[in-house]
Amino acid sequence: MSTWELDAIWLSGQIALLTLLISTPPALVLASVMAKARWHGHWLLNTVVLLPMALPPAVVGFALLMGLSDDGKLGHWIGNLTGWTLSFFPSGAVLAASLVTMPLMVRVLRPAFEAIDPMMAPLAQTLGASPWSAWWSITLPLAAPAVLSAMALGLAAAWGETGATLVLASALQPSPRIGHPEHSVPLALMQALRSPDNLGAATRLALVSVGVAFVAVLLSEAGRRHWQGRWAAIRPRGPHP
Amino acid sequence: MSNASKPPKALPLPLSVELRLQQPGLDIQAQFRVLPGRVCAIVGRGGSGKSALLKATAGLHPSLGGRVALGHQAIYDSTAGVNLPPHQRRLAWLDGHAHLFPHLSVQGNLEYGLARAPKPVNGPTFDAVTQWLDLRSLFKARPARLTPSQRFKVALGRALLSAPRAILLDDPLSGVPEHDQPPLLDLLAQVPTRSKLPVVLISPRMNEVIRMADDVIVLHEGRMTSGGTVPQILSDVSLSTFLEGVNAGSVIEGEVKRHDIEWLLSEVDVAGQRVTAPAVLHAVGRKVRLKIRAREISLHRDLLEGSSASNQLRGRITQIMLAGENGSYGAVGVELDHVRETGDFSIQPGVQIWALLTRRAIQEMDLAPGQPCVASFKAMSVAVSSWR
Repeated sequence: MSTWELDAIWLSGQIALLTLLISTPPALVLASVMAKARWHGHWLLNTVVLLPMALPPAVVGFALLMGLSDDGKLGHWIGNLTGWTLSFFPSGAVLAASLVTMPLMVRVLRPAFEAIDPMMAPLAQTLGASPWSAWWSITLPLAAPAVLSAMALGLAAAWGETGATLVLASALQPSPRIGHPEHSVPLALMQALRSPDNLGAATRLALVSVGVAFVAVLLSEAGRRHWQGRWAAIRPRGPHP
Repeated sequence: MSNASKPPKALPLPLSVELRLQQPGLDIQAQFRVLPGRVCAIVGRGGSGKSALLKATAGLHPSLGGRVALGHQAIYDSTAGVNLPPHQRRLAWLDGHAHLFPHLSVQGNLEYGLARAPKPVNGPTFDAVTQWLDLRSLFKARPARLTPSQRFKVALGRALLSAPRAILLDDPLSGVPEHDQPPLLDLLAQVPTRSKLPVVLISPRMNEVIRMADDVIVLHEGRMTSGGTVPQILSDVSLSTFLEGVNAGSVIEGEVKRHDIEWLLSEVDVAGQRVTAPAVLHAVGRKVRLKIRAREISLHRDLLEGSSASNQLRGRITQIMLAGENGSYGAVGVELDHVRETGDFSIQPGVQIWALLTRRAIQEMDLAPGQPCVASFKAMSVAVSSWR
């Protein structure tokens, strides 16, 4: 494996881990809130959160570019204020991956929170637990297998995010070429495919991606099975008025 | 000071509830008060708002107005703007689902509330509760592996250990198969005396109400239609018919007088008269409650000879009214004569029982208020219940 292949794998790994770190807490909060929420207009939050999942990834990338790059008004303003500008790595790639990954995680987490006996947290409160303590000690542990499942899927999605990343890369890296140090695995793979000499490199990158996806799906399904088994065993059965 | 290290335990306070709340299609309004160590039962048909009322008391359901207080301390008061969250109200909740935390062991469940109780813990000790409920062998078990009876016991223990200030029971035995309920009801009936806390009980099973409750309130479509002591309310034939249909009857209090070992019968003193019932295990002198179904009582002008009805109680008709869905039959109220030990009797206001008769029978016997009569029923139609 050549250096640029290893670089791409290392970059994708960094993007995936950073994305997971950034997306997991808001995904947990949103899923937990959305599972309970029946307030006026909760459907709007629901739609906005899940929207990036349904949008063409290129549109997500475009929106990020327009919103946050130095050319956009907001990006310019932020840049003036803090000195921060949107670059491809880490901010651009991680933001793009987060926008696509978080809705996916919410989608996986929400049914788990919805499946929790709705009296569990209130009952913990009658036993003296504050709402926060009840969430931390009861709700979150009950959803833990689903959290594992969502994180594994999120890792795979962040690793492989291509559409939005490609749009950002084409805008923020004016001359894409083989061996660019800021290429994630999918981008490197695409570049490699442009010349027949690099077919071996493309195959290797593809195989690594298959491996990552395989482990992620395996973990995710293990979490889901554990979660289902737990609820099958404890769900209240029998008639209750 | 030597007293400083051992602060006095806070005394249990009475729970008073006066609430208005709403459920889809139902306005609920009720008020009741429970003294420490006493039990108030809320009865009524399904959908009458009993559970919502109890949930609102615990702070688990929003209220529209009213006041909930322990002693003089309001935990909810709409006019004063007080609305404590559930964890500051500290009212223990127990319902038929037990709601054990599946990711914690039995011990973890039991310690959950104990760990969060204000220090110093003003409640029973861990050892006392687990020994009483016989939970020691289950400490390491996961809730999913427990039987329904064990789940109930763990949930009861967890509730008691959280050092609550009152106990709210929403049909707590409904998750347990019927044949496993009696021993658990025995345990549950000890809770008010052991904990000395006010207890509120919702139960569709009248045997639980008769066994545990001191007072009863009746909720019908969200409104409190009546309230009073158990014998008062459960012997009111119109309420009783409403609640129990064909099982309607009278609940009267008495004292065990004698056991007949040869025939396996027990005699209970009611207003100085003797009621014979199938043998019970309660000791002589023990106060018990008798439930006699109104449709199993017949009325006679005089004492009967050669009858299988071993119970013949003298009394006087107080009122006659129509009963049943369409007034298809009559209910006759009979106030029992209070018989003194010496044999002579005098009429005192007191124990009343009801007989359901056909309108024809009432007509043919020419029954009218004020007439003396004899109410007879078989020993087999008496259900004796201990009373806590």
